[in-house]
Amino acid sequence: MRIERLSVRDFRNFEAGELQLGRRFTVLHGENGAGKTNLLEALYLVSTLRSFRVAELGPLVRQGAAEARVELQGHDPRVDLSSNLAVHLLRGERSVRRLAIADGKVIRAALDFYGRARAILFTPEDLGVLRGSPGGRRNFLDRVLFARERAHIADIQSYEKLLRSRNQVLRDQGTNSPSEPLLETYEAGLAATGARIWTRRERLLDQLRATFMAVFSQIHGAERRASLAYLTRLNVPDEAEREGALSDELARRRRDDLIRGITTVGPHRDDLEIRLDGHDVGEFASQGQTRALILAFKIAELRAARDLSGEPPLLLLDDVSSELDPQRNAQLFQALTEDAGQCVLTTTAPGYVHLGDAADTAYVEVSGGTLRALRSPL
Amino acid sequence: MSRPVDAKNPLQRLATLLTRLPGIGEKSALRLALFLVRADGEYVQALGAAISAIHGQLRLCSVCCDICSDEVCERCRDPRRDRRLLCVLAQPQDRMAIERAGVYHGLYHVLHGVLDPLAGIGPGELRIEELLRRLRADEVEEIIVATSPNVEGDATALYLAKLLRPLGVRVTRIASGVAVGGELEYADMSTLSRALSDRRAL
Repeated sequence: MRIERLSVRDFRNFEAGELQLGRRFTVLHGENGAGKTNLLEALYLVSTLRSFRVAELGPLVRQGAAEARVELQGHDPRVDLSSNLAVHLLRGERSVRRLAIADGKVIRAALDFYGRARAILFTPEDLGVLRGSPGGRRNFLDRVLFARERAHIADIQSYEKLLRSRNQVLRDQGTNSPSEPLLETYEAGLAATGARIWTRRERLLDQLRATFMAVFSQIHGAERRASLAYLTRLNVPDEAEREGALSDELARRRRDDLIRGITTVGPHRDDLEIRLDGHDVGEFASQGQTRALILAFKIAELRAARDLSGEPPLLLLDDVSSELDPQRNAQLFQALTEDAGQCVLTTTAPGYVHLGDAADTAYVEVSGGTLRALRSPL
Repeated sequence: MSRPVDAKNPLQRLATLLTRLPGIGEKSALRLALFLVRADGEYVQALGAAISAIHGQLRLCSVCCDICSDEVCERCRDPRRDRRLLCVLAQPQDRMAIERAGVYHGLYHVLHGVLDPLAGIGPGELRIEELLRRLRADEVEEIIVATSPNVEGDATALYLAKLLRPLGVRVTRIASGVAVGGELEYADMSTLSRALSDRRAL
């Protein structure tokens, strides 16, 4: 869906506000705390029914208000008609109730609402992923997959339960008599779901790799080569053989796992590895390089989503240009301009944004919960 | 917030006891208690007696572990049942559901739970020893595992299969997939995915 207007009421620090989006770019600028990111959060909420900042939606309702509303007015190219998506957050006694409305009709199942206004988000928190824990990187991959394949959510949930169950059995063995059939039971489930998770992650990276590398060299320059790999203890190129390989390895490690009380092989121990010229990024990359790598990944994700559905998702970029030098920043905007989708970005310094004053770009000043459209960049 | 209960007030005492029942909250409990106050004495006496009798008169069948009132339940005693088929279930209410359908005429075995190590339920907490004992004595040829199709139910089924197959008995699992008489478009994703992967030739 192409979004034309975002309206918010009693949302975060906005009492009421309306934002006309550019056909391609919308630049939100203003000082820290003005509410720029709140507007990205509003767009993200209509896309995913979640917030990227808080788990519970309570803080999204303006203090003292009983109900927050976010509404998107847009154009649905599939039917060539205008379309309206809204999310209402109703403050209850203990929690906040969420109401999703599409073209005036309440949609009860969240799954039926997702995907109507798909969005890909970049926030400065994403930068921590490369230096952070492998678990954070696995989540980073799985979140991309959740948006593409609903079955992945169910598999991740089953896998986590099977894993905790096997670990519990391993720990119980100390007191009870060993039960090989019981361990084998959980291993069979772990191997089947684990192989599906593994294969989806590998396929995702295979799909993103070429674009990721190309976009990185476009933003950062061709002198450094970025690489993207899925790190796993088992090397099994044939997808059909992965379940058997996992199952054998789980059985082989049973004795060690019994001593340690944990399961030491499977997709819960795998990692996403991004390297620069063969070096580990966590140790070697600068802030600017890290930013360019994550942005290249997000743009690759965007292009893959566009190829999959024919329609590019909305790209939300929070505080995007603060650590790139001017030349690389210009190259980032060059890369962004090539992608046909819509993009909303926030910045404290509009001078960083290299979009010119093309007719398809809207500049909006955000300050203290009010919005002011500007004719051209400052 | 519950108010302090006046132990001498019989109505409040009954309502408080009723709130311990599954699915009964404070308001429902009070409504039930008030209903009993107004109901005729004969019914209330009979209800009270039925409740008192439940612990003294009910026990587990010594063969299939289902709840019954005798040493051996009526299904295990019934000579018309097919003794080559044995259906393993998690709970007595599952047995009742299959029995109501009236399509199965073999024997049953009730485990009283499913494997769930996270809740402290291992094989020792289920009636699996009793099941193995039956296999040694009885003429069972096929065991149908009819636990629910979720992580715990699937694990229980797989565990039983691993345990029972070496004993030379055929172990099968009830099918799962799209509900009969339902509409395909209303089936959820996990059900459809299972229905497709467990498809069979026509």
